Amino acid sequence: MRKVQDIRRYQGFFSMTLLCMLLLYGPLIIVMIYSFNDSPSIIRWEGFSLRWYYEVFFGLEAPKFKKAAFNSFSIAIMAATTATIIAVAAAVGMIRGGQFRAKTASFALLSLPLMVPEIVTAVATLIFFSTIGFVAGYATILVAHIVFCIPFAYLPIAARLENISSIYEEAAMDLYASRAQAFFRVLMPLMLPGIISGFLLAFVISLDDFIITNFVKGAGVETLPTAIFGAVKQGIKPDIMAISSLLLFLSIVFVTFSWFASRIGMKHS
Amino acid sequence: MSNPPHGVFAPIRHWLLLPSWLTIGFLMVSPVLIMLVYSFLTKEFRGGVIWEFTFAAYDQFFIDRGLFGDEPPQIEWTYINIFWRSTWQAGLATLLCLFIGFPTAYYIATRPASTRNIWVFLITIPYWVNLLIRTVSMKFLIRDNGPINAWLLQTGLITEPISLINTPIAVQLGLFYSYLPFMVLPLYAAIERFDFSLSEAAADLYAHRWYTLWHIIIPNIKAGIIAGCILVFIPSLGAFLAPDLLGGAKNFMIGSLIEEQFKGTAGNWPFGAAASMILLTAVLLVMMLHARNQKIDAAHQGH
Amino acid sequence: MNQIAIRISGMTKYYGTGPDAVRALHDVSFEIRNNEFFTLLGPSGCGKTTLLRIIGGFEEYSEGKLELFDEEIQDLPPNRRPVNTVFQHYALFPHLSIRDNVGFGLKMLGKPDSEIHRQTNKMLDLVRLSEYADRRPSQLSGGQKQRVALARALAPEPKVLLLDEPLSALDLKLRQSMRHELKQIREQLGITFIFVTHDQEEALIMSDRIAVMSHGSLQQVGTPEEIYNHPENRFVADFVGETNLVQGVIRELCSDAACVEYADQELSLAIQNENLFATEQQVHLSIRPEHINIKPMSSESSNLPALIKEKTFLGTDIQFLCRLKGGNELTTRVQTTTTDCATLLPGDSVELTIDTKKIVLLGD
Repeated sequence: MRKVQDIRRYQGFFSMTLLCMLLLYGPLIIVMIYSFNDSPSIIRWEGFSLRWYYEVFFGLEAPKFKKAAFNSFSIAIMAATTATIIAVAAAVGMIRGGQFRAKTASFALLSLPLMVPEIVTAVATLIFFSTIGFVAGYATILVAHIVFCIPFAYLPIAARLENISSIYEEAAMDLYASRAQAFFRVLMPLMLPGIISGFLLAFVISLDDFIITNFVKGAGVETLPTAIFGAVKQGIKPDIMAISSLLLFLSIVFVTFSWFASRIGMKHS
Repeated sequence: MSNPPHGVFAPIRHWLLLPSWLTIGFLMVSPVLIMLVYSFLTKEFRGGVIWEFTFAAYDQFFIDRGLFGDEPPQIEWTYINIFWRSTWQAGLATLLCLFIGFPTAYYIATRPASTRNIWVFLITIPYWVNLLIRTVSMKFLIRDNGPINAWLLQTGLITEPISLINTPIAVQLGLFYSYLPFMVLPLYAAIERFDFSLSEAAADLYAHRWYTLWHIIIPNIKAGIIAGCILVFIPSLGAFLAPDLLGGAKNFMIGSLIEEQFKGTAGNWPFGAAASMILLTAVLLVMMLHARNQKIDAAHQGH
Repeated sequence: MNQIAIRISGMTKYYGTGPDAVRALHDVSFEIRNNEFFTLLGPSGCGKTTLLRIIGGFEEYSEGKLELFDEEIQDLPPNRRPVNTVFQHYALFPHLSIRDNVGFGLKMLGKPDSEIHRQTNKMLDLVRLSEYADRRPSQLSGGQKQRVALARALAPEPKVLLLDEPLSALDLKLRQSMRHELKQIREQLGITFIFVTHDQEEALIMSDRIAVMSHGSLQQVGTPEEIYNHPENRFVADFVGETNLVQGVIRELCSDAACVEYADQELSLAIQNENLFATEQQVHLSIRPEHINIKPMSSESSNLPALIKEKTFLGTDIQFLCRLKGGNELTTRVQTTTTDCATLLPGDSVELTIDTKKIVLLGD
């Protein structure tokens, strides 16, 4: 039997796809490999070793990195949690609010942090805190992170809610649930995969942010990205490659979880 | 009698939206407005501002009055050139991303559903992964004594290491590498929705497949192409990490110029605010143009 | 004693405001008696679902009054109305087990666990799904989901049960057995059912009374027999059952009869109210296909001569489309067992006899 040629196929597109993947992953994989290099010069490969990871956790600069890691994670958890709560409320208001006058404006407002270039947000936030006399430090980073996390949490939550028929909350209210009960017992459990996905994305975005953090952090307060940036300015040392690889690995784990969370139950509904 | 909103949550929609209005309004909109005000204030030398109204920041950006400010005004090219370089770099990065991203997105979108998800996932990961680390890894890779040069030297293809760091090419490479996933995902979304029976119809009517690609597929996924281009162009325009880490002092882009006003030694807040406003205006112009085109398109399709 | 369960008066609803407003309901008024199986019947978009959702409390309306057992309930939210709904696509909570779905209403009412358990078991027994109590909705078939939705809505013992096209998603066989089951359960529990459907056959089979609606207006309220045999206007005559709607002219009128000219024939028809008609008025006649008899043409006939244009076999019946002399067409239906008709073919000359007692005269 003669095989019919797929009309959709184009010569060379597969090679381009492979090239694209090589470009995207090549640098990351090479950094990860070299983070296990036993050589302090990082130029030549001198065999497999975990010494730079040991260095990150127990070396001379370990306290600095541990402090930065604590700041990064605590800020990411708080910022992502707050942003997710705000985003859930906003999503219910937008998607279940019917038609109302402020709807377009609200949507523009919610996506504003995505549209304004990061560097502009950074400058504006710095000037804002300086004007109202906020001392730059941990708190300013947290507040700034909450703002830009909102749209990232909002998008998967709203996408999920759009796929849930409003008949469920109507059925709950028909069966004597109050509005709060209808939300917490019926709508929220149904939205949960979207909420988890949104939270994880917000968490990753907060954990990874450099530009805005760099502007609004005070002297002495560092997060992992700002600490890495500061160190890279002095030259790429092997311990930086190790810590970068760790952060990379974490981001990949969270993004993977978020990806699967956003797909849970989508086939059924 | 009025028609109040119906639905379970509609009556409290304003309360639900209030936290986001307050947070983004107070911490995003008002800072931008304050920044606008700052761009018209007088600079304080240690950073910060003196509350005196002036056009000095914009004057400094566009007009050259000599070192002591007493020469006849001419156009100041320094900053306009930085802007021009940024636009040019961002535009080139967009084209490169489109060149690699389109075949990739197309290939992924035409896979069977089972493998398609794996491909999309592979694109999604770099989309979210730490931009700083990605830029650092690119820097590591292309350094004079980095793995690529080492490998090329070893194979004997070159005798001298290729020096890429601190050149415009390195910046371009960094921008392209940073924002490539931003191009692939919207393109993929558009191609996935494309009805391939149109391709079959074209082939049935004797069209060559490259003709079909150019005249049937691309016009139908135009919106996705534009969306991808905007998603690459806008962050490239204001990029800071790639020019800073890969370009060095000679390859300034707007992002580095702005950063220097607040972090570096130059320390001119009103000038930094003015440069930010100019960048923001450019970005909003692009967005508005896009929104208008979309509206016109929608009107043509009779929606 | 026949108490009024629901009284709707002057119900009007607009979507939107100003000149663009769309009228969804126009001055609808009727009463539903206690313990009645009441059906809202009409084509899609006629306002029947909107009306049901207003009773349930899910939809606002522009004007009118809604009373439940003589108590105005229009300002009560859905969770404060002793009314439960079986939704069109079941709306079973996918994250809860069947048991928790059925017990949801009682739990929200704050009933003690023991009572919830007892009542849930009773309801699951009623719909014969006890062994499925711990499953999830996604593990049930369409018919089973339908019965869970019914049990869930009945568990809090509402005064009125609302059913929004509950059978439309089921296939024919299941639909037929569910019709029977619904009717039985209602008789067993003795509560008022308000049933929405676009299926006139379903409405005729199941209801005590039917309200026919069209374009947001109420057309007629009555028992299935009244609706079928005495439609009050052309819409009802046409929508409920099949009929021939033909035009005629009134030639003579007296207090209880009218002489109507149709297809060169003078038909003497009984009328209820002579004030509705006038001589020389153009009127419509509704003639059901089963009220027209057909037989091969015989020579001494004084009946309507006609030609068979089409013949359709329907199983128990055969339907003929006949063409009269003046160009009028009539559909007639006879049972397949009527042997002399089975041999008739298109093109044959036949004569038609109309049972004039069954013709309904409709003024417009």
